Amino acid sequence: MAIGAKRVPAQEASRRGASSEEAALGAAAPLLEIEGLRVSFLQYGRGLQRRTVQALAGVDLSVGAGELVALVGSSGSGKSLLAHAVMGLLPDNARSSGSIRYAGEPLDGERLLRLRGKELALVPQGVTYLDPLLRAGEQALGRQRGPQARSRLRAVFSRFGLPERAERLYPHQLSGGMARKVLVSAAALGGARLVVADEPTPGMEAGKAAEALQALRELADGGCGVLLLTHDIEAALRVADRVAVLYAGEAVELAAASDFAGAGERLRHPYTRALWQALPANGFRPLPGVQPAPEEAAASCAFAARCGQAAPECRAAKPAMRVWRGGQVRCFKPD
Amino acid sequence: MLEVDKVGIHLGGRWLLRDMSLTLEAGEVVGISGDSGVGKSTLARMLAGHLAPDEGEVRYGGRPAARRGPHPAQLVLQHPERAVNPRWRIRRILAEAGAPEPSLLEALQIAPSWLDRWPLELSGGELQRVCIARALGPATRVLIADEMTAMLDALTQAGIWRAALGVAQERGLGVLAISHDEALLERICTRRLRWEELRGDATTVMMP
Repeated sequence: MAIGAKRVPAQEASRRGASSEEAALGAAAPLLEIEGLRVSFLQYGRGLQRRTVQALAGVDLSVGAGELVALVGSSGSGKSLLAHAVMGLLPDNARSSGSIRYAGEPLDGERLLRLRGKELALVPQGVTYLDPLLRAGEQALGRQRGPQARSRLRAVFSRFGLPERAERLYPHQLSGGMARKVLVSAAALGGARLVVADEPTPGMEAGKAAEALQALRELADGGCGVLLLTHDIEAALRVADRVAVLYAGEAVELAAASDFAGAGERLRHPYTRALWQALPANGFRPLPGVQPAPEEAAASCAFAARCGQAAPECRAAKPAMRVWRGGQVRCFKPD
Repeated sequence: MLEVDKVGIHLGGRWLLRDMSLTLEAGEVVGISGDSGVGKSTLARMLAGHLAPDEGEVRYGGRPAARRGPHPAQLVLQHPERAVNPRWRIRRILAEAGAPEPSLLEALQIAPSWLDRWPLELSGGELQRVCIARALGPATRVLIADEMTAMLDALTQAGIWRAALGVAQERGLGVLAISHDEALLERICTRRLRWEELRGDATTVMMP
């Protein structure tokens, strides 16, 4: 079949660049492995009409210890759902399939309950997740008490650039940037090994956003695996080791952060390159058309309608994610 | 085109902003950046007539905005889904500002098929185009964009700004862009201002 025939050049490429590949494909034993993750919702339309809305239609990515991986997608593309799927927090009307593994074993049921809030931590999107009646210090410590915990708290706060007085402040007295750092501190103090940070910087000015991102980078440098979900590719590139790009609910490319350079020659997917060239600093070039809903592109390449290189096969079948030039790409004709 | 003359606005005994002055000429794209919470959005809402100044004056083409009819300055916000009635179809949302010119819809790449849809059936970027079309009625002289594309991906952002600036240039509108994104302002603006540069008096004064 067409897809199989096209796999051959990918394998050749993988033999050519085997060494750089390991770097871009993640560490040997990743902390988090997501394969073929799909999430759909049952929604009520008018009256009693029910319809299924596909939100994520195939996401593959991995995060190693000490690594910061950014998943970049436009708002409403299902990034928060991915975070909630990993943490087992999807609402009742959501259905998910695919595999999520943590430290080599499936992450579900009792294991998830045991690890969540300890080894697995979510830094949520809104600072409204902070308890308004709890001082920042208590909040970050969770159930930990005693002088040892206090001194750890002081150390963690100072590592993330929070002043000592911040320990005694209530959430409404914190700036947006400080509140995010308190959330990150809570993850660090809880002994998290894997942190999922959901859109930590929207609406913050450049300096504050950089601080919040730096706190995540610190976590990764301390040995944590960090998955950063954001719509802001520039922000992601400041701190990420690798970047996964989401389009119409699918991961379409997995690239090293350093691949985003120049005119995007090292990027693999035409969408990623278009996204890079659309940045205000890189040409501000728009692209006609809009992202389709995942169900509209169930049997074709989701990007085919907007792609300058689309061939008939791109409209007839869905390309699989495959290894290509030290990264991964979901495209029949990658560059 | 737009003259802001030492305006101030207070709430609960505290000045949210005071002594703010600014001029915007036709055809200019002026970018304003500044820290969160300093009052950029409050100023934007005041210039668009959503809030009245407690002191000072805002003039559009040399005189205050008329009390009736469309306001000469129109505001486009960060979240289009919060700026439209979710139970109105797009056609009715657009008609709120008078029947839109077909050429305007074309310039903003609003497909005729969208007109019969509900807001929920459009993406954030598509709905933002609708909000911009609604803001660009024939009486509009100034477009105020308050983080207009902050929630959108880079491709959608570039498309929307190019379309909006095209219409603004053709009609000689003034554009006031408020954003945290320095690179964006650098790209679209003819002139840039820091928030501090708008202020005659930089202190926050408590009311007695």
